[in-house]
Amino acid sequence: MLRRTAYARDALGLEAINPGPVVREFAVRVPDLDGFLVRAREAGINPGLPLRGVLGEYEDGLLVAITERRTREQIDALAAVAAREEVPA
Amino acid sequence: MSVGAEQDTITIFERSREGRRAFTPPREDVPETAVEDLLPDWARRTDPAALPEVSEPEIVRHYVTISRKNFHLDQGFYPLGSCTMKHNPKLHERVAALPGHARLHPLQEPEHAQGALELMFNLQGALSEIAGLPHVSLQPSAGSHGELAGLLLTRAYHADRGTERTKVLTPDTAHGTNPATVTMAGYEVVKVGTAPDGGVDLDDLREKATEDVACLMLTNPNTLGLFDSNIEEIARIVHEVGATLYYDGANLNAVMGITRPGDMGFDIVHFNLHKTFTQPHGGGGPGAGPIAVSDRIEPFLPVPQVVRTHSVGAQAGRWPVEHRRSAYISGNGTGPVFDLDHDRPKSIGKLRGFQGNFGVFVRSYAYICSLGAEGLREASELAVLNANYLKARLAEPGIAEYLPIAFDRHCMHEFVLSGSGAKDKLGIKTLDIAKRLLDHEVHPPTVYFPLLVDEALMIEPTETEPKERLDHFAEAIRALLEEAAENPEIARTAPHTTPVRRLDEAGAAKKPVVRQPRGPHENPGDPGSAQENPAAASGAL
Repeated sequence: MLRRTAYARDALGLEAINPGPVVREFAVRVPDLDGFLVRAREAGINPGLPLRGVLGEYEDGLLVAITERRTREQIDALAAVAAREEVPA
Repeated sequence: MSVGAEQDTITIFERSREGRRAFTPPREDVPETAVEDLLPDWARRTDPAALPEVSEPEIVRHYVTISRKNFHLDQGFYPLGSCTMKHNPKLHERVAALPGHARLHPLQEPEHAQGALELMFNLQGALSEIAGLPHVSLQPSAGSHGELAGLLLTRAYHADRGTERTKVLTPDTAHGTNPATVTMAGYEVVKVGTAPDGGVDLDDLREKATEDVACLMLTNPNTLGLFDSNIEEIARIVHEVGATLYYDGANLNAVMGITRPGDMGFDIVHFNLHKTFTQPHGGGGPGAGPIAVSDRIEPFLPVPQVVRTHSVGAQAGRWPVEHRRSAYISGNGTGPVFDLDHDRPKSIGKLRGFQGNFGVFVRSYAYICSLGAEGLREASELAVLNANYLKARLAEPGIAEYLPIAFDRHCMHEFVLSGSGAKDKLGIKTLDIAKRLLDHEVHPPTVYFPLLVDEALMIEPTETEPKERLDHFAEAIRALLEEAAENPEIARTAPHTTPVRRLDEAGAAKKPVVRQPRGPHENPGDPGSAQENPAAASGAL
C-alpha cells in the first residue's frame, strides 16, 4: 500500500498540498477540479474527496486514498485523466 | 483440564505461529521502492507489531469457539422483554452486503449516491406511514439517541414559541432510558403513577400536567405489555397545557399496521430498527433510532434531511416514490432526484457523523419490503398472539401460584410476571429462575423491571417463535419450579451448564478486566483488578 500510494502521487503529477511522507492517502491541488471530477467519473473512477467544504482554504484540493485493492492499471487510468490523456478502455 | 478444553480457552495470540497467514496481498505491480526511501526513520516502527499470525481455518475455529460461549438468538429462545429479539432474516445480510450498499463511501456526493438516498427516502416514507406522522429523520443511531433527539426537538419547539419549560413527565413504568434521557437533556423528571389496571393514572397526570411541563414520554403498549386505552384522553391532557407527547417505540412491535402513534395524538416517535425491523442487535454495535414527527415539530428536525428535490407526479419531499430504476436525474436534466437538505434554519443541528448506519437502513427496508403492509400487521398480530398463548401457559397450576401475572389482562406483545410467590414459597428469587433457565437452553427474560412489580420477569416471545418453543419455555419454568420445591439450591447456584457459572456482576461492571494476556507467560493488563475481582482472576470475564 505504501508503494502504491507513493507511485500514485508521482504518477498523478499534481501539486501536493503536503509534501511530507504519506502512507495511504495524500492531498493534491487540481487545476479545474470540477472538470477533473467529471472526466474521472466518465472514466468510471471516483478519484477522491474534494476538500472544499471540508477545508475551506483548499478550493482546488482533492484527497486521494490508495488501498491495497487499487492496481497499477487503475492508478495509471487516473493519471491519464489528470494528464487529459485518453483512458484505455 | 483436557487438551480439548485447553483449545477452547486459548486466545488468538496463543494460536499464533510465526509465518502463518490467512491473507495474500495483491501482486506487487508498482516499482519496488525501499520502505526506507518512502518513510523516514521517525515514521517507521523499530519492533514489529505484536499481531497474531494465524491461518484461516484457525481464525474460523477461534471465532466459532467464541460464538459458542455466548447465548445468542440463532441458538435458542430469547424472550427478553422490551427488546424484541425476533429472528433476523439472513436474506437481509445478502442485501446489505451488495457492493452498491456495502462499499459506498459515506462522503459520496448525493448525485452519485442516488440509489442509497432513494432507499433512505423510501424508508423514511415507510416509517412515516407506520407511525402515522408525516416527517422522518433517520439520523439518531439508537433508541436512546432517538429519545434525546425527541427532547431536543421539544426544547427547540418551545423555544421557538418563546416559552421555556423545565419538566418532563414519565410514567413509573417507563423504560429506564426515558428518565435518563430527560436528565441528559437538562429537564427535571416528574414521575406519573400507574392506575390499578396498569395504565397511566389519569388523576395523577392531570395534577402534574402543568404549564412548565415540556413533554410526556410514553410507550403504548407500556412496559407491562398493556395497551393504554385512555391514550386519547392522555393526549388531550398533555396538549391542553401546550406540552408535546413523545412515543417510545421500543414496543412498536405490538401495533404495526393495527394502530399508529400519530393517530393516538403523539407528536414525536422513535423507532428501534434493531428491534422491530430486524437489524441484528449488537453489543453496542450499529443500530438506528429514527424519529417521526408531526408538522409542528418538522422545522426543527436534524440536518441534513434526505429529500426528493424533483417531483415526478407526486408532492416533492413526500412518500411514496414511484420505483424507477434509472431515472435519477430529473426530466429536465437540472439535477439529481434525491438530495441532502442542509438549509433548515430552525434545525437542532446534526446528531451524528455522516447519514447514520446505512447497513441498518438496508436491512430494515428489506424487511419492510419483504413483508409489505399486510405482513407487518400479521407480524404484530402473531407477536400478540404468541405472548397471550405463553401468558396462558404460565397461568397453569404449578406455575401461577409461584409466578402470578402482575396485571391480569389480555396483553399485547409482552407481559410481566411477579416472582414473589417463588421467593416466598420456594426460597428462590427471580435471578435464580433467570439463571436456571440458561441450563434449559433458554435466555432469561428481562428481570427486575418494571420496578413497580416485585421480582419482575418481563417476557416477550416475539412472532418468530413457533409453538414448540413457547411450550418448551413453559415446561422449563414448570420443571425448575418443581425442582426448587425439592432442592432450591440447584436454582440458587445456577447456571450449571454454561461456559462460566454465576458471575460477580457488580464486580464485572465496576472493575472490568478487558485485556487478556497474549500468552501464558504474560501478565494480564490489569493484574490488580484481577486479584480484587475473583471472577476476573478466574478468567470468567
